[in-house]
Amino acid sequence: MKRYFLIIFVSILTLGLHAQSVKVTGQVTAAADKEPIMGAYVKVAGTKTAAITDIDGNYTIDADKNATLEVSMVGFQKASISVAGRSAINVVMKDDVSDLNEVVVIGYGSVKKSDLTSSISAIKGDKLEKLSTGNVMNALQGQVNGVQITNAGSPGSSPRVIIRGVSTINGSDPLYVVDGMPVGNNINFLNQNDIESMQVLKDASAAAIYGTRGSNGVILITTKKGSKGATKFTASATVGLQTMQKPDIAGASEYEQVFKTRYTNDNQTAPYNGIANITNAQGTDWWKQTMRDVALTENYNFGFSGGTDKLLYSASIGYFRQNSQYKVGDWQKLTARFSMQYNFNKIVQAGVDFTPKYENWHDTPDLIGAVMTMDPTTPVMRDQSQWTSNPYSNYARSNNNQTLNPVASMSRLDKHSDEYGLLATPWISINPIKGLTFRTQFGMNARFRLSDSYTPDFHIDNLEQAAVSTAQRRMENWVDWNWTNTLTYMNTFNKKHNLNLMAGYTMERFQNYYLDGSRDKIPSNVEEMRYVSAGTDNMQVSGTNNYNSLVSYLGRVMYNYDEKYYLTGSIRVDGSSKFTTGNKYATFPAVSAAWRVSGENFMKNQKIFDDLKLRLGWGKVGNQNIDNSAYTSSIITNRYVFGNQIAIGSSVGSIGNSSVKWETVEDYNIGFDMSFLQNRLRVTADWFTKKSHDMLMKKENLLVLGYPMWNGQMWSNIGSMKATGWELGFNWDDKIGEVKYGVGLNLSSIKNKAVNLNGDYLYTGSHNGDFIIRNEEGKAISQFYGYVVDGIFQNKTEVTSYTNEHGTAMQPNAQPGDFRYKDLNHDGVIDEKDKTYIGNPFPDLMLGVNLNASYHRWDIQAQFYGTFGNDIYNLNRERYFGQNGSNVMAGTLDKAWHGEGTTNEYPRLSVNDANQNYTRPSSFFVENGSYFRCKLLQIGYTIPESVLHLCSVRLSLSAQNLFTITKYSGMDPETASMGGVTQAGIDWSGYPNPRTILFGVNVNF
Amino acid sequence: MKHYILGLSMTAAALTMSFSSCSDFLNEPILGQQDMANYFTTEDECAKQLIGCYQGLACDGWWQIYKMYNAADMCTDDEWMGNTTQDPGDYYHLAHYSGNTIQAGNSCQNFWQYRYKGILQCNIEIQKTPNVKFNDAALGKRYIAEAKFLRAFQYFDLVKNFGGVPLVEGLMMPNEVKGIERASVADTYAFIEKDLLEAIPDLPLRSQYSSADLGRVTKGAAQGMLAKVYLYEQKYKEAETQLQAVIGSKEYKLLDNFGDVWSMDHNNSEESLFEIQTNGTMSYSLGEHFSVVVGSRDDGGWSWGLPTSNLDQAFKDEGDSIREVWTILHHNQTYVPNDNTWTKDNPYIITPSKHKSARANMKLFIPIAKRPSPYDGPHINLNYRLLRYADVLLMYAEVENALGNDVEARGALNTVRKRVNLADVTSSGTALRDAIRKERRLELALEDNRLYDLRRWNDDNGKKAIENIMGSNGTFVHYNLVESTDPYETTNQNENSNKGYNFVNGRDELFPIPNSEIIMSDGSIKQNPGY
Repeated sequence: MKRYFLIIFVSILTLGLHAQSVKVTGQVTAAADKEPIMGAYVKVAGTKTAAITDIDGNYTIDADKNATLEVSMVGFQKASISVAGRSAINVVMKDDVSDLNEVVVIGYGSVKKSDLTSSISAIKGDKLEKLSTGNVMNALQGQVNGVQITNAGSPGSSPRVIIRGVSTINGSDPLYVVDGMPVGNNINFLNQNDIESMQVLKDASAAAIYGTRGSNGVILITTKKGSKGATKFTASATVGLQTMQKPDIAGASEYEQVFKTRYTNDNQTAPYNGIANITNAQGTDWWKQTMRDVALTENYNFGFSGGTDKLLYSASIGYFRQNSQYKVGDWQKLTARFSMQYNFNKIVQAGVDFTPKYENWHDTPDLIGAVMTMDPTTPVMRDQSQWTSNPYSNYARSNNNQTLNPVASMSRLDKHSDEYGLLATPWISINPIKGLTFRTQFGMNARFRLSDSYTPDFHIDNLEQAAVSTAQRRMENWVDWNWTNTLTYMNTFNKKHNLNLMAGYTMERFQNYYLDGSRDKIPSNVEEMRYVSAGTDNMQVSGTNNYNSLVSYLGRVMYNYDEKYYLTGSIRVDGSSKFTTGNKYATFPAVSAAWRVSGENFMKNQKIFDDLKLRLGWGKVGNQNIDNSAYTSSIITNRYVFGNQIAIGSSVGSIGNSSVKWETVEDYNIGFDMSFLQNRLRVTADWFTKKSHDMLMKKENLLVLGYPMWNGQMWSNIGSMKATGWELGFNWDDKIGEVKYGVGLNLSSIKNKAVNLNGDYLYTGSHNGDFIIRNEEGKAISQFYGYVVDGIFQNKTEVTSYTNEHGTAMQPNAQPGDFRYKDLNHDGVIDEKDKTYIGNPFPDLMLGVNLNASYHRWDIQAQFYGTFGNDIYNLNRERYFGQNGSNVMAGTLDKAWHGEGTTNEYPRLSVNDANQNYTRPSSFFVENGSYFRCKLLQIGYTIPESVLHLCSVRLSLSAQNLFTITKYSGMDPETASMGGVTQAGIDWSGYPNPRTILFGVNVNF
Repeated sequence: MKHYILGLSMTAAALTMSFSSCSDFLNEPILGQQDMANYFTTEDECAKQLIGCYQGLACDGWWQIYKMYNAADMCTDDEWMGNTTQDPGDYYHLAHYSGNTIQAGNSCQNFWQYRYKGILQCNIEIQKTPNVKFNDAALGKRYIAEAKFLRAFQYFDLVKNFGGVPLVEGLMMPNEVKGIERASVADTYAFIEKDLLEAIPDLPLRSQYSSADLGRVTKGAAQGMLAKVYLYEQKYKEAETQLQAVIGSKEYKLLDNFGDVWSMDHNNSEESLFEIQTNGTMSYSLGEHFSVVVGSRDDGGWSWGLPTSNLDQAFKDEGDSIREVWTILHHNQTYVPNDNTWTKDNPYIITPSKHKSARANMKLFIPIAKRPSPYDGPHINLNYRLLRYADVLLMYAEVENALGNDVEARGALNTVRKRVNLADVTSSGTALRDAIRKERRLELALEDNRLYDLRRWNDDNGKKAIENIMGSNGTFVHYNLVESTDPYETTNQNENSNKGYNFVNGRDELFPIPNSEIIMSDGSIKQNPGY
């Protein structure tokens, strides 16, 4: 049988004959079936001389006697052959099945990617290095199907990661496991350049081996290790410039008019404080006063690796810095990694990985809200004649509202932290007999944080002042350890029965220690005095230890017959200190199976599928992500006065829930892995449904209970929830002439539903004394819940004619210009019962598109990410009301209703707001939050080695968040979609993702 | 083979260790704080919890509690919001009766929350103390009695603002209050009465406490409070009994000098039945901060809650110069009692453009020399008077007048008037009733009484007193919009003079229940009518 390939015609380039050159001819064949390969690309290394094989796989090329031929073809491994004076060279190309033979880490073990039975996505480190970011999860966005990553722009902040939708209400962060050590839910400390690969365990059949902490999925990270061979060095540098778009807020003259109109519309006189010295209509540009035009980000890395038969080593060092877009605030981290493995003999191997780090950050302010509401008629500073010796007192107080001067707030902000950390994972592995491995690893994750904050005394106004300065220092240590012991047995019987058994035992303890002290009345605000010791009054100190621990027993059986039929079963028993006796232990089983259909005889003659595998999985995972003290009621100290003397008393400081127990998530998964067209097209499809039981949540309760906890929040098992969805991934790799390209497309869709809430509604998103979000049994979770605005009353007649059957006005407080609310239950009154679901913060579809192409020395990458069908509750629309004298969006005066026919969208300006246009949650605030964003566009050029001897240098120019296609009117649809899963999609004016232009250099030698 | 043994033995060691020790390993007590499960075993622990119950009165000077006391006076004819350089935010929707249910409810939400927090601490004390063995059984009973008073006081704070409220009598789990409804006003009062009636026998007289215990709940405080509860319910006969007991106990008398009543030098005086205790230490928030909130902007204050010219005029009409000077501070005043900072050359300033009425609260005024540094913090050592003997006498006068004993009524009334050199009232019947009402306004002005008096008093036209002074035809509204010639209030319209114009009968006699609570209860807790 002959192999047919797409014919690609490329002219043969020759540079003329050299004296030493020979004409080389030969045939290129495939190793597997010995058939000739047509269209293979034969090139003389280091030159532009190249040829293409003909229909019989033959080629002819002129090459130097000492040259090397490089032969490449899609679907095959690249081959390099020395000419060594020969004139006939036949080349046998091996199938490039590296992607399928790739070993994938699965938690307490690893398997070939082709042998996976669960839904696990793997991604190589080199795909993550393209984006310059402080947290590798930012780079993972759009790369992995079914993983919704929402970036929180500000320096040092962690993105929100939701794997396969919301199945639990109690946080969505997955568990991160670095080189076998669970490190919690934040991996800011990790340098993305140190990552060899990441595996996302998406379904419970994969994650169940992590039991109690697997309910949100597990992300396994393997760091780079040394490999046998000469020492390789790499270095890279990236410098970026961030910019941010200023929101369109009103200037001073419009502000004044809006402020007054709110009162005059209600027949009131406006308490407006005119200011004489406003010289321009714009007034103060608070955005410009607080924001940098351009903020810098930098990233430098250097590493080397290598090894011998005995010793494998690698080391790296990296520095990352990101400035905030505000004039203050930054984050920098210095990370290093040392990995060593020593092979004593064939039986014993040992190694250790050290990851020390240093982080330092100056807090980024949260002032976008203040910038947008601050009175623009107010100058930054008060008149110089009123200045005092305390510079913090010389700022101006807002003339007309209660917003604190944002420039003054920023000048006072002095909070900074240093954190030192060490992750160490020494291990020893023993293979006493073939197939049997005992491995023990004692991981330690220690962090030490020193945080200082200083608030100066100042007096801008009686309502904007701090009479005393305060210095505070907090020292906090975390020392978590994890002892993992596994016994693995792998063997193949009768060549076809492949068996892999694993049994394990782990112990973990999470230890936290802190000491916090503060003093007031520091004699001077100078830099040298900003320490606790300088304080003269009100000494306060607190400190304690917090512990929780976990003990687990694990077991797993993996069996496959002839790589056709697969069966995996695992079980984990977890015991946790976070629950009361009787509720401490829980069991998490999982079963999965796979069938390689393409391995069957009846598939031998078909030409469609190169690979076809069907996977089925079921499993149970748990969630114990609650406070250590969830079940205890604590007593705290407080004070009162008798006989003018202080009496020390106590009160109940928190009420525990003694019946709180494990949350479990159970899920089913069906998936197909397919590849077509000589493996050029690979398709993965999954369908899943997962249901959580006894969901844990720190739930708000009725205030009449009198709980000392804020808003009566108590850990409770509140019911069950279900997420159902599908994922579809396409990857296409091919080349057109000398242009190699790849297209990746990830599509996923998830529906979340509240199944059982013990008959309760669950309200979240507290705002203005109401709740924006309601969860109801049988409905999609965390939907916006409010009144439906049916336009605006245009005249008196419309108001008076909006009556019920008895002729009673439905909105007795309404006036022309107010919202008309729909009487949804037709009971003739507008009240709480007329609220309905008005928006869903979770998308119908998530889409990631990854494109790459290369031509000679040029390469280009593009990554796009988008969500579709999600809504955002845009609180920025309050900026059309000027409530409490706050500033408004530009154009409000014209946009707000000011007479019949002027608008049917924005209500009239009103101070009384008797119709509650502004305070009732309503459809007015809901906007389509769909967006499609170009996350990365990068162009790279590799300088020829002939120019720079011995090393390869790649230069790149990239743009992150280059453009966004959206109808959303707020600053950033992505950060607006943030928020915990129960408060998702409410735009509280957070820090938007900046646009960043970066220049990078990579050197390998 | 050696390695094989090593491997096996390590595994064995690991497993052995795990099985033997994991029950201990999984036991992680919470460090650094006591667990309620092991608490309430000793007298001392009950004593401490009781201190915690008292702490709930002001929650360490928590401004939201005083804010509600302040807002209540702003809702009357005695006070403006006052600050005309800032947006009034929350205050506006209450004081100007905007009818915005949600915002007005929000203004009250924190007060509601903190009163119930305080009630829970009392509930726990009342539940736990009987299980502890006391050497002196009477002491245990007294602790419970004190806690019952504090619980009753806080429910009274709720019922007079919101009407009937859900009654929670113990520590409950969320599922136990599912579907909870508001008790009727009568049932809420009945609950309060029961607590106070049970507390009275076990409480000592003021004189029976040692000086170190000054500030604790006394029998007189409980009787006085119960009398007020009865009076609000118009149970005159029952009120009379309690008032007579207080008066008859001879534990209390009026201070000679009216100006001493709100002086920090006379905390816990003979006139005082119950006060929020304060201490000026900088280390804790045990003082009051209310004085700063109501103070002149020109004198380090925030100027929220300023006396009206209408109140000022009431003093003038009565010729009541003593109480006027001790109740209202005026712009450009050259003499401020007890504070010689202010002179002809350095008069007291309340800039009219910044202050609606250019007047300020003198009762809470702190003389410069007595101010802590920094002044703007919860460190002022002025006890907040919650019940004083003049109030008892005026309640007695009101009760006796209602019962037809005008001689008794005039006696009590004139005792109060005598202190401030006012002539005896000689009228009787309805005229005497009106004289007593006027006296309550003048004597207790700015002390968080007026609103509830106006809400409970029935006028001769069958309306509540507040309905006659507020609303578009209200006397107070008419005074401000038509009669007033006050140079400050009429010109500074940054707070509109039409305060009360939007008052709606049938709605604004109570504040709205916080909206969040209604939603959270899935509607089992119902909103007040009209909202």
